[in-house]
Amino acid sequence: MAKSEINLLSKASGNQATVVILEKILSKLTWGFLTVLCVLGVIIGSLYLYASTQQKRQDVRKAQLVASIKELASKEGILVSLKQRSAIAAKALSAARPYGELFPLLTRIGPPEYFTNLSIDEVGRSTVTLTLPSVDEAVTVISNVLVQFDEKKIRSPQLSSFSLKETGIVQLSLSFLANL
Amino acid sequence: MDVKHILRTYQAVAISIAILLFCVIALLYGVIPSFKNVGELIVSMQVLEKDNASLTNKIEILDRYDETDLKEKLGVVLSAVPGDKGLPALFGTVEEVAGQAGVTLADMNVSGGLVSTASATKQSPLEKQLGTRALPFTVTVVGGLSNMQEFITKVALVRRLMRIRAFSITFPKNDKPLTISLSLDAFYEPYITSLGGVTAVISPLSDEELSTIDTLTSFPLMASSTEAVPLSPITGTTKANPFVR
Repeated sequence: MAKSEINLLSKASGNQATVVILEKILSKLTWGFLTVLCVLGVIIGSLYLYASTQQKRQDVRKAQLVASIKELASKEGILVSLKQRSAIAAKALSAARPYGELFPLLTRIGPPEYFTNLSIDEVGRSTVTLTLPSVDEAVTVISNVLVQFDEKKIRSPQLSSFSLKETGIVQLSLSFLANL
Repeated sequence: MDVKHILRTYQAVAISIAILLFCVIALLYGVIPSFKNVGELIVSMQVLEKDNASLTNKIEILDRYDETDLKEKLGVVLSAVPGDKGLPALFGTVEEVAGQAGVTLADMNVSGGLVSTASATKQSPLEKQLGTRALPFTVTVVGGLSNMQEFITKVALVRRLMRIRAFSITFPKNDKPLTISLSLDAFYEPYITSLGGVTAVISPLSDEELSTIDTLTSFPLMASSTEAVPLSPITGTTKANPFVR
């Protein structure tokens, strides 16, 4: 015998079916959002905990390091002064020219008794004045200067003046930059 | 009757929408600002880590040196480039070099703002080039040629650093002693009075700096300055305001 169905409620209308679908979609969205929110919350919470713990640790370490450096302040001051002053000293040493080495160079240009004057200006240019007994001696001196130039002992040599007296005495004025 | 029916029909939808709204609000006002805060916290943590690494490095550098040894080295360098003009030491050095070279010191003149503050003294091109202060002075010495040569050689190789700027020699025809007038510069540099902050970066002594110190140590000390050496510069402190009661 077939069962007879009795339904007192009217069948779901089309409007109610849409609501049911909407409910399902919204339910899925809600769960999705809640899950994302929870995951993000956990991630942010963990990161915050990690970062704040690390920061506290680093803060404590910094305080310890600063205290240690303050204890070493005297040594730091000495080291900084030493570095600053040794840099200055290095520059001062490089600025000083060994003019003592100029005298052996002069003896290679001519005999000491021929020299009447030697002067060095602020840029390091040497000017020598020589009084020579003959033109031949003058030629020898000039060729000696050229030899020193070829040997790169001096640079930019110049014959500033050359005068021949009635007595045959020659006065020479030479200038050059010595490679000291 | 109708309201009850609507409420019953849309109850689940309303709850879902409320939860979604809550989620959006939580995202906007909770998650995003928290994310920014955490980002800032991580950045500041990284800065702290860098600072600490720099501080650790600084301590390692300072621990490498013995303070007594550093003081000795600084003493050597300070005797070469003192903190002030140090005229007594300068006179003493030139006099001692002249004595050792066998020449007579006839005259010595110091020029250029003997008593002046550092700011009142205009820097010369040489000072600008070298980044230090130079005291110009002239010396007149009398002696034989070889002695002059020795004096000119030695004067640049003593612990009080100086350089010959210019000089002129007139060679006499007879055996009379020579007279030379030399223009020199003696170097000095005022002391540093303050250091950078605790986090200021320092570097160890380079090979070049050590070589310079060794060179200076090898130079003879002719006359020492009696001035006190400030070995503990002021660190991170400022001058007190005299107008504040």
